[in-house]
Amino acid sequence: MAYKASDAIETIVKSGIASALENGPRQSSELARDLSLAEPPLRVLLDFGVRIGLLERMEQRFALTQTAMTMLPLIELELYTRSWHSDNDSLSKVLSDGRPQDPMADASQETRQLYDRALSGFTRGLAIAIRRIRGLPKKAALLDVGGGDGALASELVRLGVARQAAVLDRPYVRSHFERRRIQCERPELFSFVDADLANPDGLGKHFANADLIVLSNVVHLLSPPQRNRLWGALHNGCPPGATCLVYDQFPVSQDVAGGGSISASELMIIDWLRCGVIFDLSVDGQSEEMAACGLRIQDILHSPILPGKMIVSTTG
Amino acid sequence: MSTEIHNRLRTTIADALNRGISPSDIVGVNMIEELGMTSVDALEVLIHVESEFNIMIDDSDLSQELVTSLDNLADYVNRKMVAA
Repeated sequence: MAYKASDAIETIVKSGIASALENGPRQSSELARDLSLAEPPLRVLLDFGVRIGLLERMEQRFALTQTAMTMLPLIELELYTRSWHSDNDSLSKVLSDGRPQDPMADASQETRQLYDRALSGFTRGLAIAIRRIRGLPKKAALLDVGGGDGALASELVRLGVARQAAVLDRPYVRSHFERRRIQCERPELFSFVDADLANPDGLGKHFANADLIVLSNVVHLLSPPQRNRLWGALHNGCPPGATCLVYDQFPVSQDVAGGGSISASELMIIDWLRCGVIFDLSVDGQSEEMAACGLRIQDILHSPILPGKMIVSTTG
Repeated sequence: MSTEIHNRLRTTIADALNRGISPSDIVGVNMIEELGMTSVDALEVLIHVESEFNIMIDDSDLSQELVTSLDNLADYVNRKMVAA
């Protein structure tokens, strides 16, 4: 029945309700008047928005939840990818031959700009959540593993979390990184490391100079053996006391069949499946896997501004 | 309510938004609309407030609502400082 939730979210965004609520809580009568909508069905839609966690009630007024606020830039991209996968019949194709279906593979310039805008909005929220973690190294030397064009790294430097940042990613990402780097206020603070996480054995040397390592939305792309080699490389390569943050969309638990609401993370699993990725590790399972490789788990955080969870660990 | 807290908040908000806003120009009645703050801007303002006043804003209070009114924000900061 999740498609009904998707329909509701799409309507709430496309009708302008979400944008109106970005400026603060509103009553359904105010929204109906300002957006020229019929109030009785609007009220039903808003109540449903509360049920699925997109909205919250504040007495007679409705507001976006904090997570929805942060994720709003991503929803426009989500609507594009949903439509693309539907037109492309992606799930059926993956089921029949296992071939990944990537909506960004032949994306237009306009779609790529949409992608950049969406990621940029999300990245600011993630950087803010990281800045609020207690006990991080002061003015860290950051290594953003799988950090793409360096959007998160530049936000973490801008917010004073890191004094310098290196981004480790596949060689073809370097040109995207360079485009962003030259626009930074102090480009000399940023560097790029060519590496492929699918072959993590030689990565240890890149960890030696970092005291804050971030893996954001990366581990779900790796197989269990690749992850284990990565944790081993982190444990052995980082200086003692370095902090390693792992942020991802972890399935809530393995026993949801008995009922309960569907989380954003679980819905993400279907997106990954379309792209040929199978990831079903809970956050506790991921923590145990990291601990078994020598990392010390300090905390598991669920920030109210992000849909995923963050594992805070240290080395040595 | 302390004018000093209000003034420090005005400066902190202007610095956090980094758009050339003069602190003294901030009216503070409906700052979301007045300053054109997005939800993420509001969060960034709040982490600057945390640093400026050396307080920790509870996760449950980390919302756009908290930065809507300068009076309410000053009251919140004042309570956090007293409790610290």
